[in-house]
Amino acid sequence: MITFQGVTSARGPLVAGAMDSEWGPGAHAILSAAPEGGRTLLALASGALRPRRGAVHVLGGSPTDAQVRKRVAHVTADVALPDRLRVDEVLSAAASLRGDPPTEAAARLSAWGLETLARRSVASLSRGEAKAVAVAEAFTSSRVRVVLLEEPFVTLDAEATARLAAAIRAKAGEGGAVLFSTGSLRDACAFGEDIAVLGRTGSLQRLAPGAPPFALGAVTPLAALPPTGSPHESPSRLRLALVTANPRDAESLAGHLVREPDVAGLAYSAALPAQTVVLHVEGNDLVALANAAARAAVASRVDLLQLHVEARDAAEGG
Amino acid sequence: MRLPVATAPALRMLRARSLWLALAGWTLLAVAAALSARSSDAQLGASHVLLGVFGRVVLPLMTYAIVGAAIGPRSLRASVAPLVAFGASPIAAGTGVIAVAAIASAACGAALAATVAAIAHGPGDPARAFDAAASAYAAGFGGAAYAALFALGAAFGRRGGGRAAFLFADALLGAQTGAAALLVPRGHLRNLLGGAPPMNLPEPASAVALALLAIAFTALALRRVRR
Repeated sequence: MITFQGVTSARGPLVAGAMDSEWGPGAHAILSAAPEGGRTLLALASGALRPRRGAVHVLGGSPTDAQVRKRVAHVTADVALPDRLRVDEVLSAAASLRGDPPTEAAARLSAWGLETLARRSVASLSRGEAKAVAVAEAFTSSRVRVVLLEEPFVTLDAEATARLAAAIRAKAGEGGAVLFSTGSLRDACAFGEDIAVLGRTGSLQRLAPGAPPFALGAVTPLAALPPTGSPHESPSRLRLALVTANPRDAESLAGHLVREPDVAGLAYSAALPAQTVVLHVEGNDLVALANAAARAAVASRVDLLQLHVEARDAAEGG
Repeated sequence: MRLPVATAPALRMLRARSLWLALAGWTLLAVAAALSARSSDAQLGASHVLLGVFGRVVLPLMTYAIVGAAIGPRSLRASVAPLVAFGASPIAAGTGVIAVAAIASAACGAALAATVAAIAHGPGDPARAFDAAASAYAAGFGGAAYAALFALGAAFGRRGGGRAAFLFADALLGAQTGAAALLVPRGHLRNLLGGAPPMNLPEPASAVALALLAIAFTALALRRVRR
């Protein structure tokens, strides 16, 4: 459904190296080491950005083809809806452009619990509401086959997150493709059928199949404290923020992390806002680090709803 | 919404309160100037106001406000991005915005020019009805060309700041009667309203030039949107 052949772009991490990749039907996560990485990749897939070299094919054609464009929905992190229009007018315009049969906006929105927004003006929507409307438009259109989502879970509440997860599964189940970029390993594991890690230089590596899935579990105390200190000068880094009232959660996670052979360095700080422990995990290979973090998270059985993971390249700081 | 690429910018424009305030302000200024000319029994009252306050100030700035309302406080590309995200082609969406702005500018300009010509009509001006119709035709062409120029300006800069630069360039180049005045609407509009022609062009040639400028500015703006 989505094919990149030797693609480079004029901006973002794809400047350095050509990308070859392919995504078929299903839910696919892009875990991006640099925030602009996923944005660039999705913009290329949607046709909003033209490749400097190489070719992008979506649904068998160029993403800028009129017929392809109507069947691709691209929801950016900072959604821009046509201003000064009401939400129902926005959905009506979208349906007209995509060639959807005319449907009451309230009916489309009600599937997402957003029917009260139908008569609101776009200008009055919060960022999260605007994003929810854009997501609802993408998933309730009968014409859309490919949905591109940039950091889809960032501004959504728990209820909207659950709805989106179900919609992603449903779209994938009916033969569509959902490609979403995220900086959160947790979101990538929870909602993606497969995960690819986009490095700072544009390299795209798939996470090893069968990587341990995240699951909720009880806390296992660990007596030994992990080593602490300054982060080392390694090329890749994961930042794990654990929000917990129990310091043993962090100790347990750190204890498992230091046993991982791919983890070259570990530093943690508990001096951040109350009940937040931040672990900086460093190594030479971001993919290996992500796998190690996933294994350690499962092994330590920390409550994963409390764990926020961000991929970073050390050269970019963070 | 059968034509969303035009409906969306039209609704955006019509619901912009600042546009209605601007239109009211520029209309009041033009009518006040016309009433002033009428009360002073000027021999060429209509020509004086049309070539002065209306042609130099009101029409460009009124069109500037109309284009700003149709595009919003952003670049032309960013303005059409929401419709493009729903499957519209950037060219169609850009054409919709520019067409809406050009039609609104031509209509408002023509109506106001006819009103000014009728109010300020002096003994030395052509017949009132003829003068009002000719002024409307000239301002209609001028308004459309200005709309295309400002839309092209809005294709530059993150917030469409090129509009202001193009307004300044029009004032600078159009004030002359040399070759540079051929490139902007002001000189041709002045010619159609009875003023000094750029490069001694006849009036019909200036009308054609305004139409060609509108097409060229639109094509360049769409090229910027498509990139």
